[in-house]
Amino acid sequence: MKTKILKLASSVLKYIFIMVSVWLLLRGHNQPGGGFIGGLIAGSALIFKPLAFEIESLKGKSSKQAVVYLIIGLTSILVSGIWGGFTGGFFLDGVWTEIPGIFTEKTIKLGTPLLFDIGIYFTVIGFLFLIVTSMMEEWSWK
Amino acid sequence: MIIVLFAAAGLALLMPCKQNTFKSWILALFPFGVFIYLLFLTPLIADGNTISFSYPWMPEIGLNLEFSLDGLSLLFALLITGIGSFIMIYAQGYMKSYAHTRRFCFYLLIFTGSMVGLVLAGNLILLYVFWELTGITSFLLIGFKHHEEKSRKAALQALLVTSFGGLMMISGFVLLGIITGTYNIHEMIGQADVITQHRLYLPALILILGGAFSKSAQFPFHFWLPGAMQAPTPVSAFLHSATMVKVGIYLLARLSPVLGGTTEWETIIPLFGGATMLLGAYLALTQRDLKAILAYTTISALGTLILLIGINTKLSIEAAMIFLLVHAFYKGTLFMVAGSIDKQTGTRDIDKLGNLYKKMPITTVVAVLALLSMAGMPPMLGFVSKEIIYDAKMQAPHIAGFVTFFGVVSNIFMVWVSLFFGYRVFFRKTYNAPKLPHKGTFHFWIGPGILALAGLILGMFPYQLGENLIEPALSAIRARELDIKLKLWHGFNQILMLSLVTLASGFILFLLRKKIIPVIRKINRKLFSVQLSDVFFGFLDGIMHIAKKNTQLIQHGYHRFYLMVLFLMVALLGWFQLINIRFWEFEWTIEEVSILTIGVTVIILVSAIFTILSRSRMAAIISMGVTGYGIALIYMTFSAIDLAITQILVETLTVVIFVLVILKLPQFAKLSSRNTKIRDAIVALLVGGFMTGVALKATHLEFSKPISEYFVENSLEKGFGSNVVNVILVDFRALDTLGEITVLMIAALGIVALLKMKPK
Repeated sequence: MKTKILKLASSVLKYIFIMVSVWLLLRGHNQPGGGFIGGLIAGSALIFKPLAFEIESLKGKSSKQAVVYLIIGLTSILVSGIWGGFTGGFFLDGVWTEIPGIFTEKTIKLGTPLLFDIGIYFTVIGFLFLIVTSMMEEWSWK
Repeated sequence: MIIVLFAAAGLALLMPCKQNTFKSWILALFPFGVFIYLLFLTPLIADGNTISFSYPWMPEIGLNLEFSLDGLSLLFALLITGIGSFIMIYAQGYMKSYAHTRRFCFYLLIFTGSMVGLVLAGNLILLYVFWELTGITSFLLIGFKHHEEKSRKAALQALLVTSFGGLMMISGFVLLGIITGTYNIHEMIGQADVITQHRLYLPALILILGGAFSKSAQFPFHFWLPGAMQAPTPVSAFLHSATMVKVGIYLLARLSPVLGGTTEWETIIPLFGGATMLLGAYLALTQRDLKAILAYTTISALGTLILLIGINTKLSIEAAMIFLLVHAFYKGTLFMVAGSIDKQTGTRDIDKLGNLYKKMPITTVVAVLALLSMAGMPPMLGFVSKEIIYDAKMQAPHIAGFVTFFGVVSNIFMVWVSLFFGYRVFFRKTYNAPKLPHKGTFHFWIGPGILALAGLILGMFPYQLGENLIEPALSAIRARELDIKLKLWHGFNQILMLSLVTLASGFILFLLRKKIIPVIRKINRKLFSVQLSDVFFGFLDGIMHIAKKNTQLIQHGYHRFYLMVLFLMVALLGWFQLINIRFWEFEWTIEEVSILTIGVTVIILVSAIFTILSRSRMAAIISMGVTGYGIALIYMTFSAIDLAITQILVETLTVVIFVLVILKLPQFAKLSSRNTKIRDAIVALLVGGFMTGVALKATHLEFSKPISEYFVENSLEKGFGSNVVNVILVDFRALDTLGEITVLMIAALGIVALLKMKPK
């Protein structure tokens, strides 16, 4: 699909998408958003490049990259689960700490559910990236 | 104290041979250490104490790590660890030329550990776990020479037969659990009366007997044991004569206070035990392979043990416990001797061997001692045990005459076999083996030597043995204090007469062997033309055949039919349930419908119909996307923002991926006929209708209070988040999310596999 507009836009859109996705991920606990939605957006950002150019632009590294995402995601989920298991008593129990804010009076709450959400985020990215790029490779997308 | 014991056993499990040069005697120190430790515990146990230990594992289903060491456990544990140590030493000599000796040690130690666990387990479920572990290690050890087809077959046969029995047994345990409400053996003993009166008693008994009989190679399951002789000899000596095959006896002895004392117990068990005893001894006569002879005599001995347990008098149990020890001593020894002979001469064929007493003097002495014990001649321990066995059989209630007669007959056969074995292998003048014999290293005779000497010394001084080991074991089985006295010499009486008759007949038969053996062989050829082992494999092949047909029928490989079957089944089951609950009776709860909702609904409907009717793929996909966006809009009107965002994203990606696929497909061709279209439409309507029915009815079925209020209330307080949906996803219901993520992963792997792993 050789459209100049998409080619030009993809490089810019990619970063915007990723930023939005991270924003959605982090705010997800209190406002609409979260790991799944963020992951879908970031995943779409990553498939812009192969979609706009050709699959060769990834130089055959796509599946390795996807596996790395999947590993990061699953490890985060595992860690967040076990963490709760060690301190709280049950697998996947939430553990929270409060960090004093640097610029504001408010404190920031951090907990294993956030790590779990990050895990989902990366797993979804990896999933999306893996299936789309392997399909493209299969039909040698141009 | 049990913890210490298990730490040792566990350490033994975890330590495969670290040395490159094969030195299993170092590993022998582990079981030997446990053996010594147990010996120190003996006085404590002999005073009637029980050491127990319990750690909760899954208390919800009544499964705890309960271990208890009483007399019976101690007897078995000593036997296992003691013989285990000798076997490890022996293995150093025997296994030298094998590959993967490290693996061998590992299996052997796992086996030892699980055997000790089995006899210490105070909980039936735990016992079953260890029981299966011994079965699996036995499988691995029989199939150790896995490059030979015979070994693999024998291993598979042993595994299938014993695990079939194991399944029967666990079912029996579950029945017992239902009757008593506990799996703790000690608590069960207290409820023995309840159990034997219960109507589930007989099924439970039969199932448990199935387990015990298959493991202890009782008729009609006996055929796996001779097959198991494919294993390296240390394994045969350890697993298939001295320890593993005895766990059936252990189980019955352990459960006899729970299940015993009934007519069923006292008929079924002696019947099978007696049959096995006679059959094993008889079949041993015509074997030519040393190990096969020993295997069949083992079957016979196991039959005797089972028979004695079944008679269930004080005397018979006492006899069983002594015979158990005696048999482990002499049979372990003989197996190791057979292994040495095999190693030194290159053959185990009894027709080729002979005249070995000059070349292998130590082995000869050891073997003769063991054979004397097997034949039950004084002053060996075998004599003591045989006397008591005769005594027990003669005093058996109801069936004394019958069992005594068969006991004498099989003992005559045993005497005959012992004489035959000793004469043929060691003292006959001819010798045709492929290799010239020479003395083996000390590893080959130290283990059997000590065992044989133990048989001799204990035979001369049986009193200590009775006081310290047999008596506590007996008390544990009978669940009360008992006192016994073992003696070598009982004086001139009926039993001694029987012994003399046995020995004399055995000797006469041995002298007449040239005339009798051909006759027996001829009879056997007619009688046993159908081998149980072959029947077993035929059965197995039959199952494989059916499975193949079955797979061809169900796994036909047409994706569309898989989907159709799946959808149809779900829809039909769903419809059945929907009609059951009268789905058409529901209240219309939505009072006010906004214009926006109506508009969106119309859009969804129109685009759905367009999707079906469209002649272009691209248009169909896009209109499907419109349906999806419409649904997202509806979510939004109900202020479910998270859902709406997700729906939009997923819909977009779906369209993109669809386009990717479709661009590469051929043009829209008309492939389906009218009939298939109608069929597909029916399936689609069924599934869609079912989903609609569910959606309509779902809000009106309240099985319990909806949990959503709890989530809304506690989201901020307990989950520290005001986005309820997200808190549910990552905190309250994180396990569900984990499951979904797993599904996602598997789907991704499936897609990649489908795309990349096509046949070349």
